[in-house]
Amino acid sequence: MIRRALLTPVLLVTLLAVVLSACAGPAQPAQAPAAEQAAQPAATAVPADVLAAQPWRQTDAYSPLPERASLVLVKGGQENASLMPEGESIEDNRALQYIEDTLNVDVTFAWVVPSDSYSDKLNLSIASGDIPDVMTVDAIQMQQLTEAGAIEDLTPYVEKYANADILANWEQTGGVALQAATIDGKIMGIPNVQPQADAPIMVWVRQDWLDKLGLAAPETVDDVEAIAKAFIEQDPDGNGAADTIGLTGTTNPVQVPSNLHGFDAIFNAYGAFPELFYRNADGEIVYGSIQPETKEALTRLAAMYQAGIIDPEFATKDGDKANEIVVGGRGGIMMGPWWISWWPLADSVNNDPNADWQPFMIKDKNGNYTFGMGDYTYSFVVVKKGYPHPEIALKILNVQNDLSYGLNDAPQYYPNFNEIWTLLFPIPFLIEQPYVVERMATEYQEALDGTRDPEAFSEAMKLEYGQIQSDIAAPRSDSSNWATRMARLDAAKLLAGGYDEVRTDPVASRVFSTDPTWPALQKLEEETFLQIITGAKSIDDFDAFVEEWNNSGGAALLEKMNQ
Amino acid sequence: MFRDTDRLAYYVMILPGLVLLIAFTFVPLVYSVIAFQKFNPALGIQGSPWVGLDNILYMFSLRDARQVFTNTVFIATMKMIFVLITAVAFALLLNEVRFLRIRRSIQTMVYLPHFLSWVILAGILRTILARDGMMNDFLGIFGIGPVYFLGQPNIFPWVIIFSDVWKEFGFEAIVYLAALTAIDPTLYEVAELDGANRFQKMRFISIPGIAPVIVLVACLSIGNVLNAGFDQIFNLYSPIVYSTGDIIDTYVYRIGLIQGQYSLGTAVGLFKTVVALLLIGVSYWAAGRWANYRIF
Repeated sequence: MIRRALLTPVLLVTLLAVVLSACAGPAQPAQAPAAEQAAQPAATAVPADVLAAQPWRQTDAYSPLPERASLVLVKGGQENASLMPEGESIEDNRALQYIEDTLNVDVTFAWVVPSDSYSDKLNLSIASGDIPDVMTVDAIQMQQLTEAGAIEDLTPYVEKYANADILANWEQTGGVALQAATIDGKIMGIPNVQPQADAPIMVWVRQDWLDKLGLAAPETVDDVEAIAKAFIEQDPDGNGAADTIGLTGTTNPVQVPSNLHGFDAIFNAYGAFPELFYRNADGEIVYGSIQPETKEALTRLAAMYQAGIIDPEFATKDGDKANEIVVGGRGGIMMGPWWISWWPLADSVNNDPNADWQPFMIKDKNGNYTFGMGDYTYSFVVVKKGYPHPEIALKILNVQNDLSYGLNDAPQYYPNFNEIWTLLFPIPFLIEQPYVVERMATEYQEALDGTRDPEAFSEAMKLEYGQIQSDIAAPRSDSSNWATRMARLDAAKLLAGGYDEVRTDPVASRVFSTDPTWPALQKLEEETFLQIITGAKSIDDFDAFVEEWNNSGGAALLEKMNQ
Repeated sequence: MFRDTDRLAYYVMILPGLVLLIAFTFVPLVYSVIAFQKFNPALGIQGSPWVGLDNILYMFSLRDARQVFTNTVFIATMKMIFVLITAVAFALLLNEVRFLRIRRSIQTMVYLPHFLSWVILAGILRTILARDGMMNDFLGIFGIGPVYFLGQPNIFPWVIIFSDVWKEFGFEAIVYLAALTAIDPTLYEVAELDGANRFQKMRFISIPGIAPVIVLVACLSIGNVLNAGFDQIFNLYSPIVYSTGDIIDTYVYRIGLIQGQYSLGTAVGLFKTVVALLLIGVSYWAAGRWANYRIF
C-alpha cells in the first residue's frame, strides 16, 4: 500500500522535453555503428532502421550493448504476483522484454524472495560468495561490500550514463544523494531518491465530529489537545458510551519518515527533532533526542497521557491495533503522513460514509510549520566487481524511470502499474523527484482551476485526476476516489504550501548505522521515551538519560560526525 | 558392531533427529567464531578481521547485557519454580479424584494449552489482559485497576511467568501422575487400616513417593536457566518493558538480525551457550548426586 502511494509518474510533457534535450548530444563513437549491428542481426535486438529513426537509442544513456550479454539479478518482492496480467511473470513480462531488447541483455534471476526477507537472503548470498551481477543494497551492505573490494567503483559511469531526469532528481537533493553513495571519494552505488512528502506528520481530524461539537479546525498542539478532550468527553459519535479514544499512538512515538500514529508533529511543534542528527545554528551536528526542546515536548506528552488524552494503552500497541481504533469509529484524530487516506482511513470511510477525515498541519511555537526530515537516500544499486558492463545498471534504471513516467515508446501501459511495478522491473528501484508529491498537487489544482490542460497529464495522472473529480462531485461515495482526492490534493496541497525543514545530516547516517554502540543507544532511548510519557519514569529522569546516552558512546559518535 | 538387529533399528530411528541436531546446533556452533571478528558478510569468515575479545569485552561493558542476563535468569527460575509447584500440587489433587472419566477429561483440558503456539496464545492474552478485557473487568469488581498488564515494567515479568505456568503445568503434571501410579497401592491400604486420613496419606505416602521424581526434574531443569522463552516474550513485549522483560534471546535477535551487528549478537549468544554448558554440567552432577540419575 505504501509503495503504491509513493511511486508516482509525473507530467509527461515536461519530462519528455527534458529527455529530448538529453538526446540532442552526439552519439558516442564507442557505440557500435548501425551498419555493424545490421551485419549480425541475431546479436542485437534493436534493428538498424529503428536505431537510425530514433537517435536517442544511440546516446550513452540508452545505447544497446555491442554484444548480447547476460545479467544475473536477484529480487525481493513477489507479494502481488497474483495481480500480474494473464501470462506474464517476474521472469517474463512486456516491460522486462522491452528493457532486454532495448539494451541487448538477457536478464535471469538467481532468486526471488518476499521483500521482508530480501536483506537476509542477500547477506547469505554475499557471505557464500554468490554475488549477483547487479543488486540493491542498504548503506551498511554497501560499506561492507566496498571494504571487501567486491563491487565496482561507479564514479566513471554515473555522470556519463545517467539520463537527464535522474541527474536532475539527484541535483534536487542538493548533491546529498550522490554524497551518500560516496565512500573515500568514490561513488560506489547508484542512490535512490525518496519523495520527501513522507516525513511531515499531519493531524487528520474527523470534520463531521468537529462540526457536531462546534469546534474549530486545529492549528496548534493546544488545539489538538482541546479537540481530543472534547471527543473523549462529549460523545461525538452519539452512541451514548464513553468509548472514544483521544490521541492514538504506537510503540514508536517517534520515527522518520511515515510514522503512522506518531507524535513527531508534537515534538516538531516544540522545536524538537528527536532521532535526527542535524546541524545546529553553529554548524555543529547535534542529536535531537537529547536536546532540551525534546524534554519540553516529553513533558507535554506525559501531561497529556496523565490527563487521559492519549490512548492509555498506546505503548504496547502496534500499527494494526492503533488502526483498529480509527477504522472502528472509536477515534476522531490520527497523526500520520499525507497518504494515510489510502490506508487506513479509507477503511474508516468504508465503515462509515460520514467519516469526513481532513488533514491539518500543526504550527510550532513561532507560528511556523517546521518538520524533521530524514535521508533523501536509503538504498543503492551496486555492481559486482568484474562485471564487464557496469554501465548497464544505469541504463536499466534510465529505461525503468522513463517507463514509470510513461515516456519513450513504452510498449504497453499496465493499468495497475503502481501495484506491480516491483514485479515488472528487473531492478525494483526508482530514482524519483524529491518533491514530486507537492508538484502533482499543484498541477491537479491548476487543472481544477482551468489553468492547465488535464489532457496533457500522463495516463496515471489522468486516472487520479478522474478520481479526484468524481469525489468532488459526490464526496465519499467511493472510498478509493475519496482517498486519492484527500492524499493527492488536500493533504499534498498543504505540503506544497511550504514548510521549513530540519534535515538529518548525510554524514551522520553512515557513522551511526555501522557503529556497534548504536543498538544499545537506540534501545535506551526507545525505552526512556515511552517510560517518561507513560509516567513510569519522571521527566527529571530525562537528564540522567542524556548523561547515560553520552557516556554509553553517544558523545563519541557525535565527535566522530563532527570531525 | 551391533550385537543384535534390534539395536540397529533404534539407531536408524534416531538418525533423522541426530542429523537435524548436528545441522542446526553443532554446525552453527563452529560459526560462533565470528564473535571474535568484526564480521563482514562480504569478506566471509576467512576474510573478516579478527578483533580478539573486543566484542566480548564490549558486551560486558553494556548496561543492557547485564540487564538481559538478570531478566533471563529471574524469569526462567521463577517459571521453573512455579510450574513445578503447580504441577505437583495439581497431580496430587487430581490423584484424589475417584472417577476415572472426570480425571481423564480434566487432565486433557489442562495440558491442551501446551500444544498451542505462543503466537496464538499471545493474541488471546493481549485481548484478555487489555484495559477493557476480561481480566480488568474481573478486577474491577473488587475496585482494583485498570491494570496495564503488558505496559508496566514491574508487572510484565509476572504476566510472563504466570501465563507460562498456565500453559505448561498440565503437561508437566503427567510425569508426576505417572510417578503416583507407580506407588504400591498396598501402602495406602495399610495406612487406611491404621486410620490415616486423606491428607495424612498424601503427606506420608504420595509426596515421599514422588520425591525422587521432583528432585530429578528440578535438577535437570537447572540447564534451562538461560531459556526464558523466546516465542512467548517476543510476542508479548514492547520497548516500554525492555527493562524487565528483555531476555538474552530477544536481545540477540534484535541486535544480530534486525540491526545487523552480527558479531556482537553472536558474542552474546556464545556467552549464553558457555554458561548453559556449565549449568548442564551442574544439573547432571546434581541429578546424579540427589536423584541417582545417570545417563552413562
